[in-house]
Amino acid sequence: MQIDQMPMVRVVFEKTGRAKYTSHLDTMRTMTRALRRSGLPLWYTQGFNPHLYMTFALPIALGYESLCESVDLRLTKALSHTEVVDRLNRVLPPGFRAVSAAAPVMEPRQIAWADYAVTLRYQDHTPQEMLRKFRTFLEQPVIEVTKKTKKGEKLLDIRPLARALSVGTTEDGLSLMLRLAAGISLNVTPTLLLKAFYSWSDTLPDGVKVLRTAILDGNLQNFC
Amino acid sequence: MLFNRLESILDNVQKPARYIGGELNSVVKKPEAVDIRFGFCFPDLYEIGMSHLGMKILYSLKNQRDDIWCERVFAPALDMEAAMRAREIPLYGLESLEPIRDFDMIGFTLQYELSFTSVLNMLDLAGLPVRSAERTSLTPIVMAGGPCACNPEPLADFVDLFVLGEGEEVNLEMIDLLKTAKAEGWSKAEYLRRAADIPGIYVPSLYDIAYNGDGTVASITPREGAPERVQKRIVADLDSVYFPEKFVVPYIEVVHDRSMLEVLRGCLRGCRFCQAGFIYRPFREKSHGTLDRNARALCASTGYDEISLTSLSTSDYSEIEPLLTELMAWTEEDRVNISLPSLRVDNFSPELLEQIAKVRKSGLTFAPEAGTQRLRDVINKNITEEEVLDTCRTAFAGGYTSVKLYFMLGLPTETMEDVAGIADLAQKVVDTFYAMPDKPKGKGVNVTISAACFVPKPFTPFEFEPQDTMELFREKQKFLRDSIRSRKISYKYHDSTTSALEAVLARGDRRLCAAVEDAWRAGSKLDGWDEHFDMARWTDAFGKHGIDPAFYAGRKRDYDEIMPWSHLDYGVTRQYLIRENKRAHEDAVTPHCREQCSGCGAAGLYGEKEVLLPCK
Repeated sequence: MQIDQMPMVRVVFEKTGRAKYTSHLDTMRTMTRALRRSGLPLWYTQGFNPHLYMTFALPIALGYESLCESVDLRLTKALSHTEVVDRLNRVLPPGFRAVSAAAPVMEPRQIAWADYAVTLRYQDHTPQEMLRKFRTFLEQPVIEVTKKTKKGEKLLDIRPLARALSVGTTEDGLSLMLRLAAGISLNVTPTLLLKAFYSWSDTLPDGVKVLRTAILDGNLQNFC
Repeated sequence: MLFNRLESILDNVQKPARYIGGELNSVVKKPEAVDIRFGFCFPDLYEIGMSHLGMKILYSLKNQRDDIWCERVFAPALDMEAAMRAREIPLYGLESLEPIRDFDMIGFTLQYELSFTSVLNMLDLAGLPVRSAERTSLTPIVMAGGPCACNPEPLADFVDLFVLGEGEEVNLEMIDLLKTAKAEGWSKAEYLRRAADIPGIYVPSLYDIAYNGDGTVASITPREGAPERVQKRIVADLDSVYFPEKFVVPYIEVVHDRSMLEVLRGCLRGCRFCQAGFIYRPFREKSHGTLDRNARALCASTGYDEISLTSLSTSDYSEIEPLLTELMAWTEEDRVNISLPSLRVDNFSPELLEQIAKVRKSGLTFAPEAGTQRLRDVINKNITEEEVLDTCRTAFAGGYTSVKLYFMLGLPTETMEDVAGIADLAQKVVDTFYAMPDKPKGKGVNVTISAACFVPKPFTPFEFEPQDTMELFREKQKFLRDSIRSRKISYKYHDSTTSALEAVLARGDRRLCAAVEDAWRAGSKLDGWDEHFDMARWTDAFGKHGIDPAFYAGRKRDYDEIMPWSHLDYGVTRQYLIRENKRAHEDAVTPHCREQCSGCGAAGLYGEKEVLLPCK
């Protein structure tokens, strides 16, 4: 089979539970080994040091869970997408689960937004107090943060780059649905927004959980 | 289960994946369905412990049994330890995330002396008293094994029992006895007394040590029916020994992150400084068919793309050619690389070089150990300068331009002439490169000298020898540095302080226990890491207990002195070690086991009546 005829497949996988402590580099290694165990007919790059072809779009940061990680692979033989998912799930370690596979439609550069479910736990503050604070925080016209880039630090107003889809309380804290600007060139992580909130409100939560639920393009269509 | 409490701290520590388990092939069982919970502790960081083949073997071996659940436990790094202590999270097993203080047995592997304080620290983190006598209930029993168990006296007050030698059989016997003890409600003392009857198990509390006026050991007296001598265990038929089909595959990168095959045990060379070369005798090999099966199973279950053929000296494996042929039949297609560490320069063929070249062309490492032929004869490192240079020539012709040479400073009988010989040998390697008409084009050569400080170890012909003082080590290091004239040679050396401490602990007696405890209480742990090590804590601890480190490290011992480990039997006899020591002082070499049996005594471990038989 010629390389341009080899089917590309985009596998969507979850990374939850203990797997959230796996960094992106470690996730790549984990995925390589799982793919090798799966026996799937996969294309290796050519050249002096061939390696398994894999492309990840917008990998989640260490410590966060995600329902929508994606990896693009190239098969050397046509294979049904359910078979790809099944064979992968037979060999993936706990916390990693393939959800679906399909031919890629969207380019990673089209990614514009990502949705996150965030829960914050507080011991010394009531949920109502924190809810008030978070709403007031969001009412600011400008939320300026320092973002580290390759060229150094720069000031960034993330207010137009962050939307709260829902804000509510739990037994011991807050439950937030956030939609944040995402993509290769400009990526607003939940940490960036939360840290701004911590310093503005002068409070620190006793526990934070972040789960990425969707990756979207500019028209709010699902990336995968 | 501690998962929720751990979550609150793992966001703020380095490499949290070290602390949470859940890796591929890790074994999770139902606590109520097993009789024995075993915490297998490696007294160092996850990345080090997860690289260790012995732990993988014994972990899988125990977990094969339905009635045992063996979990892995590693020493936390300092940031994690601080977080655990602040939140009062006790040390836990990575599989269940449950505290190991509730387990039935806690086992440590002792790979190097500088991990001793980490053993104490892990017991303390678990919430257990560090001293054996203060842990009065039957469980958890604290045991230890591994190479440093050949002189476990500096840990005698902390560990309930030691396993000597190979663990595959004796571990299960020890666990079965604990099952009986639990079922019948024995006391800890009764369990330990009966455990001492199992060959290969040493219970230090059952031995009284008396000392002479000069500080040497006067007598070692067993009590309550414990054996006079405890002989190490071996697995007689290595080819049929248990070997795991699966390794736990870590998420984070560890030091050795690959499939490992154990091609042989023991070593037939008899280099006189090398403890491993004597305590792992007799020399036994696996068949190439078994190894090929092991390799296929491991690669299929892990997804690793590299197989390492490990042993003390892999080029001495008699079936290396058929093994490589069998492996090559499938590894190329499966894109699996084969790596061959531990090759000797005297049997390094162009075919082997080609084999290594397929893996990677980073650099080659050789260990001539000493700079002159005389000193190489003293240590019985049976290689000649010509062999070193020939091998380098072969390597250069094969495209290598970087060679690393390992040496030791402070070997017995060493003179400044021998030290200068190290620089001379490195220079000759450089000259060899430039004298080659077909040398790799466009590149210079790079020779790295690495010189460690010699530490005399028990059960070697040098167990009688004094170690150089730190001052002499520093003088030799400086002299060596000044002897190097080429910019193509770089010289790496290590501070001699840790080697000096290692020498004290390696040949120490149980009077050191108090100092080990005090050094730990003062903050010593992970002593093998330069950034954590502080000799001042040890110097204070020795001073407080009136211990002179030079008594243990720097004193020449008589051939008839009772050593702190004289009641432990590793097969090689004292007469043999004395014979080899004398030959060393006569600059006389001893041929390796295949050429001629030198009657070391290890064949006696097979159980024959006549001890001085050649090995099978």
